Amino acid sequence: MTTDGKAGSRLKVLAGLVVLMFAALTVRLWFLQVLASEKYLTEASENAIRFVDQPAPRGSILDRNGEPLVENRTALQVEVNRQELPQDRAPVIRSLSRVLGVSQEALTRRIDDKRYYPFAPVPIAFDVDQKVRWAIAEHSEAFRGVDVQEVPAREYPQGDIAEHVVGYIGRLLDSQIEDPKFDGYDPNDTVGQGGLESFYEEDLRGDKGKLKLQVNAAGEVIKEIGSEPSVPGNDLVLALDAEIQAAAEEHLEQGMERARDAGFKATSGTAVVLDPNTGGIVAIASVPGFDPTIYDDGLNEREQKLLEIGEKRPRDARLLNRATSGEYPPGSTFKPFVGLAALREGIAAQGSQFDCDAVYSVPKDPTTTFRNWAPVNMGPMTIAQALPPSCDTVFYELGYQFWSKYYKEEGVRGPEVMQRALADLGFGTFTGIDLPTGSPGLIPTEQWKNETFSREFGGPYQDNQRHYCDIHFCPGDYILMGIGQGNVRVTPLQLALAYGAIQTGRLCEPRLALRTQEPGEGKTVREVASRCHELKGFSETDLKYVRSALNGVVQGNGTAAGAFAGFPFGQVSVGGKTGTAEIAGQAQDNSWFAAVTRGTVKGETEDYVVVVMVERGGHGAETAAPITRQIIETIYGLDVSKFHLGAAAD
Amino acid sequence: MDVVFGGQTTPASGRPFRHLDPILLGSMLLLSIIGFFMIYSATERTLRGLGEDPGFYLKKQLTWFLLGAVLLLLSSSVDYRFMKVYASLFYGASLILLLLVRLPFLGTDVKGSQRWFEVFGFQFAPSEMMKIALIGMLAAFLSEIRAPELSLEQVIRATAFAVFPMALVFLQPDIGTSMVLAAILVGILIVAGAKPRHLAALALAAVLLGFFAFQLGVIKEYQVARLTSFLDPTNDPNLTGYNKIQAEIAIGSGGLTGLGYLKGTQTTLDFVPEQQTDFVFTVVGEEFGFVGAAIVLLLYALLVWRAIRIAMLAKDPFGTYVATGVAAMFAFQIFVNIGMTIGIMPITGIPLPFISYGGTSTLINFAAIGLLLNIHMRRFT
Repeated sequence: MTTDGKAGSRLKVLAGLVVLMFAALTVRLWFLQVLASEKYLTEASENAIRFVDQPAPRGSILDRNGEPLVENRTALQVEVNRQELPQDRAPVIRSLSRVLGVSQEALTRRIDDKRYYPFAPVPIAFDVDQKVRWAIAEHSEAFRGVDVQEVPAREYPQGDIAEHVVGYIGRLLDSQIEDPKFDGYDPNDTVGQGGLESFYEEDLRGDKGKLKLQVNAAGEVIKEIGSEPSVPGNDLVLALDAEIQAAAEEHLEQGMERARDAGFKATSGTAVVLDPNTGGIVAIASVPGFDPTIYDDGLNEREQKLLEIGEKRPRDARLLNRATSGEYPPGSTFKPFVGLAALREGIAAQGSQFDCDAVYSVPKDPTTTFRNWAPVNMGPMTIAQALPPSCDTVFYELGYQFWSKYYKEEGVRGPEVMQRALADLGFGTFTGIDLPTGSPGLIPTEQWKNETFSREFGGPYQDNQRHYCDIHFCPGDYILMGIGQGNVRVTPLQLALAYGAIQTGRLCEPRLALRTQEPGEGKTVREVASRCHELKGFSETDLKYVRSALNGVVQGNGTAAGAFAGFPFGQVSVGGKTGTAEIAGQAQDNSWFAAVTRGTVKGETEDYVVVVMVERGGHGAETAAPITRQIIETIYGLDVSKFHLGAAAD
Repeated sequence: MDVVFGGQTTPASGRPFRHLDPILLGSMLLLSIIGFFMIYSATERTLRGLGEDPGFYLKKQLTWFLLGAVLLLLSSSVDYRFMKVYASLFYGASLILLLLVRLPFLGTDVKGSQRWFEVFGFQFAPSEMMKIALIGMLAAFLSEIRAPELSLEQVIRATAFAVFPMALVFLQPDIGTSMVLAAILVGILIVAGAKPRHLAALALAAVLLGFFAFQLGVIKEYQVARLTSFLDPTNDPNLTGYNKIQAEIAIGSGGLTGLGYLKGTQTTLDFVPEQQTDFVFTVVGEEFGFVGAAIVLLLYALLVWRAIRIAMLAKDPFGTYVATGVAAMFAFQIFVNIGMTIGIMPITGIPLPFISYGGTSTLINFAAIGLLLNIHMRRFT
């Protein structure tokens, strides 16, 4: 060695430092690559792999004959890839504003929607015209980062019929994002937001597919490295008949128009057609309606609330399905059930006669009187005889009899047998229809009255004799219940089911859907069972007794004889009941008609119950009965009658 | 064997080229070849995506390699002892270039730092040249001192030679290269016999200087952030910590044997920035795993070992100090560069010798090897 020893030993110091450095590097590499390698491998794949959802085609909704009510189509959606927008995005937004006709502020707001991941495209306009697509494609430089995609959308081949039933689809609402029911959904997913679309969401939606993409650090897709195809949703087959549904809507609307011509407001109305043997709903019309496609653009919650309750005119309530969610006093359409309850509870026998005076005076309190709708004394009559002319007095008396059974003396109460009997007919509880919303109606009890109005009056009224009847049951409560007034509330659907029970002796849970089936071949996936059960405690002879009385309503001296004048009863047997329900604070009555029918359709004997109600439509016989007749005529293939205005009876 | 180059022949006496160091030369060649593959892997996918020639960077690097080989022959052929005479001239010229590159109309600004001359489309960084110049200057200065130990004055004078270029490079700003210059100074001072207490005083002065530089705003916030973020990179993963996190993911995911050539996703999908230059080691780590990384480390260890050995074998102190400077330069660059990719050193722009893509640095590294060979060949003459 030529270097002097000192330098040599100092070089060894340097060499020692170098050895330490290399040792440190080796140890750290061993740690990273051998001990912790798993973790980094995961991180590397998370870096480079993105999953992109492939939407599944949503199932169609078909009527009972396989006619599509709701189908899929592709719509053009304008999307913005925020990462691809140029640094200065103002010119792009200006161009978009021009071509879409949306303000720049609104576009900016949509583009900056925080619900989307930075790499996920943000939809900014839905269902745009082909022209928009061409405009964007032709000037791709001016639209950097803007893309037009074909996305699945809903189409309504029959137009907007049965919109309250089928419902609509819309973007997941902010409140739903947290909902465990929507686990696995993306914020920009479209879901059923009402009606069947919502109730059968799981059947209709199918399973999303996935594209596994490799991306680089800039988020650009390098290649597809795998895919999981989407599974389309199942079709939903309904008990609904598109033809009858369309006719029901048309007749209802025309009937309401006639009523308006006659000076009624006829603000809204509903019609229900169902098969009493299965509970299958053949048609549900609710007016006013709405256009289900308006939700495609992702209506926000405030707008939806406004639409639901109607901002200025709450009675519009366009989204409300009046047949299932509207609660109304049934008026005289309720009488057959009061009669059945009286027969069951031994208050009256089939031959028992009651006076049909023009005025009913409450026994033990003759100063309190209730008037019959007709101002003449029609003499004594049985329940069956009282139904065709709809004698109120007879049913006041039945109501009073129920009161006597209930009220023993102050502080001593008997069983509420009337309510029990009505509950057995399905009143006062949810029907169990396959829709996300519905109302239970109300059969009042004393407890209910006490709880409800004590709260309302909020004071020690129990001891105040003057207001005693405000929070306690008095004879008047039962007397009014006897004619379907007072606090009784039913939904038109409940009424239809109860009429069905009179016809068949069985009470059904309603169902809109019959089954779900695979798209295409139509293999059944799931049956929606028909759930009907024998009426509890009502004898067949009593049911038959009431049934034949209903036939009298549309003939002879019946209140609806005029509306059914000339109807071919030989071909289709019809029984029914009019109703004219008074609403407190409402000048015009609600017009009701309920009908049970049997006839042949294409050689098969079929039964249908039809219930029609028009709010502020006047008497049952003048507005609802003619509409009902027209719907019946459509169902059985008869010539549809022309009406001007029915007779002003009940 | 007479080697002919440049139309001249070496003096026949002693035939120094018989005494080449094959291990040094071999490890350098192998590292360079590994570098070609790594540069290609780091850039081909991106270049393809841009519609460019995927071998663009590789071809440029091959050019640098050939130019480097010529430089190596030159720097090894002229007896290094003649260089001692011109050391101060070379040092002065480098210092002037460092000053000139600061002039806006001469230097080129790349990513906010001004450190290159643009010559015929190639970039030339005088700070790289300064490394060799400083080695030569210090070796020339210290080899004149015959005392077994350096006095404080001598240490200060030697330090002064390093401080001026360090300050100029630091201001470019290029903290990494100024640290390399410091490493060269410290390495040579140790071997030249600086007293430990003088070296400690030097370290203390450096710390104080750094502190005041920060107080006066000479060190920029981002530089501090970059230097300190290696302690907690998740603190700010998208900014200063991003490089470090992505580099660690790349190397960690390589595992024991790697993902295979051109198969590393961190590499081919551009997750690691500056990958053909400062972060080239992540390609080794990701695609060849611990085994590949260990082989590269082994080659570097051989290289540094041979450099230190040459320092020991050198016939005169000048040769010893030059070899020591080169060894310190390589060792420090290797340690800091690899260390920053695996999270044990702060991130500074120091290239990995022979593997990183880069013009001036390749030329300088080859010249340095040439010097080592030069000293090695002439150890008997």
